[in-house]
Amino acid sequence: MKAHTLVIGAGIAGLQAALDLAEQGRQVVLVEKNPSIGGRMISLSKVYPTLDCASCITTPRMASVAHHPLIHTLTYTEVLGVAKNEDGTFRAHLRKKPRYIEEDKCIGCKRCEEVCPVYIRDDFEHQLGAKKAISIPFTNAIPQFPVLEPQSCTWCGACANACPVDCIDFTQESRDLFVEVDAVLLATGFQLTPIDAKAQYGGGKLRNVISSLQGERLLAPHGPYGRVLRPSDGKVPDSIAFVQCAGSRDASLGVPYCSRVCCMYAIKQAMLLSGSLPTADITIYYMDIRAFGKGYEAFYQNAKAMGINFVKAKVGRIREIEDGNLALRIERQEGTAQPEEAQHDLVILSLGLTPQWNPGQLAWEVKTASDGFVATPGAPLDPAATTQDGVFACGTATGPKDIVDSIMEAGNAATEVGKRLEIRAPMVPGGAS
Amino acid sequence: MSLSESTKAKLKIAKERHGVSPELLARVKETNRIHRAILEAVATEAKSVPDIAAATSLPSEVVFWNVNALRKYNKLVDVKKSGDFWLYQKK
Repeated sequence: MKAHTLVIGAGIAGLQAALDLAEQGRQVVLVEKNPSIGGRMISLSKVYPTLDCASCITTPRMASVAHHPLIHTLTYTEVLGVAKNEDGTFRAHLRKKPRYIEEDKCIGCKRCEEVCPVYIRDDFEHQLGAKKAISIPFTNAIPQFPVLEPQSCTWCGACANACPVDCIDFTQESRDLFVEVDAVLLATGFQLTPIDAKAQYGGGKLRNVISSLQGERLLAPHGPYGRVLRPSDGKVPDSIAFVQCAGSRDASLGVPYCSRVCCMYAIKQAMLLSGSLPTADITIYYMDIRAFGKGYEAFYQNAKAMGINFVKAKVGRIREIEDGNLALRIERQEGTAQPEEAQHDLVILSLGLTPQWNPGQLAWEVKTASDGFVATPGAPLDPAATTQDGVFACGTATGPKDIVDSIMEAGNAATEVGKRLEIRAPMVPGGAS
Repeated sequence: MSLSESTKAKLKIAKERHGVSPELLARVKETNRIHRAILEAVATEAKSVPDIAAATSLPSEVVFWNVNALRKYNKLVDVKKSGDFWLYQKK
């Protein structure tokens, strides 16, 4: 397979960059390791500071990518290697993992999922919800194909028996693909610091201490519980706390930097919770509020005006007390310095952002910076260029940033890739290069 | 409809290739047992998660996770809120 550009990662940055390149008339191969495109953003409830529905922004881009004649999307596909050829082009080695269904036959009817007898934890819901051993990843996934997880399958055959188009293929195997491209764009995204990283916050064992992405799912219209409830017993929480800097600005975790988005997403979630649970007490324990973007300070002030309680304090320890409630030992950074104990029904940890993928695992010259994100030595004047000529990066692959900045960077990266392509493969007026 | 001979043959190959661990089979049996207990508890009367936990002698977080699994796949519904909890009933 040949194309102008390989875009690795189909989150919001990868989608935007792929669309921009395709609109330039360039052929794009878009690779996504997950079964659906959409990345982290499709799992979010709303975005700040506008409180627009995240799905309503992401889904049209997903559909545009899926239907664009110049974008070839490969989901459930991993990048095994990228080698630079002598002529300056790249040869990428990809592996398409088996879904155990024939994609050209499947009609996405979900009959297989309905009859499957094996319930497992759903990664899309960050383990809060359930799915089946064969299931479509989420409601608005693209493509709408189920994936069978062989390690959870009892091979009972119920799915094949129920399938109206006979598309289940239990013997399907992974398939290797090779793509020749002129440029590579990394949009590999972020992951959260592990929720079990801090023993003083329960080490991931406290039932009602959840991550910020789990908080997003609680607030999402198609979330695991259908409303905001706490995981230990389904109680409607009446007192909710956010613990800021729970995974960043913390050298003990190897994350000394600020993750840039946690203050704003916590404020957003607090406002949404306040809307869902008007009588609940909502407290944000913070070190500093970093509301630096356009409209962000006004958003923060609105949250305060809505009654969100901002407490400048460091949370030293969280422990479970009776009925699954949580006791937080806090030390205020204003007023009294005496340690205090505060009780809450549910705690959301604002975990830090770390790189999702290490390009160093491939035999090429793309380097990472000291924080592990893709190094862009030309930033800020040339923020998309990596340490290897012809390889570009954007979005949270290069460092923590919010959706607005990721989209803007993706557009810039597409322009930079376009400039390279214009030299290597100039567009012919009125036709392809 | 029964499985075709070719599907049966493919299933056999997959089973040999991937195996089925005793832990997985035990987990499926246990989930089935939990689901039966929950559905029995809410068959005639809507109950909250703590009430279902008390009726089934299961931990409340296990009940809640499985209640939502059953709700997702249309085996039970949440009918109304009572105090701090929603009540669930068999569909």
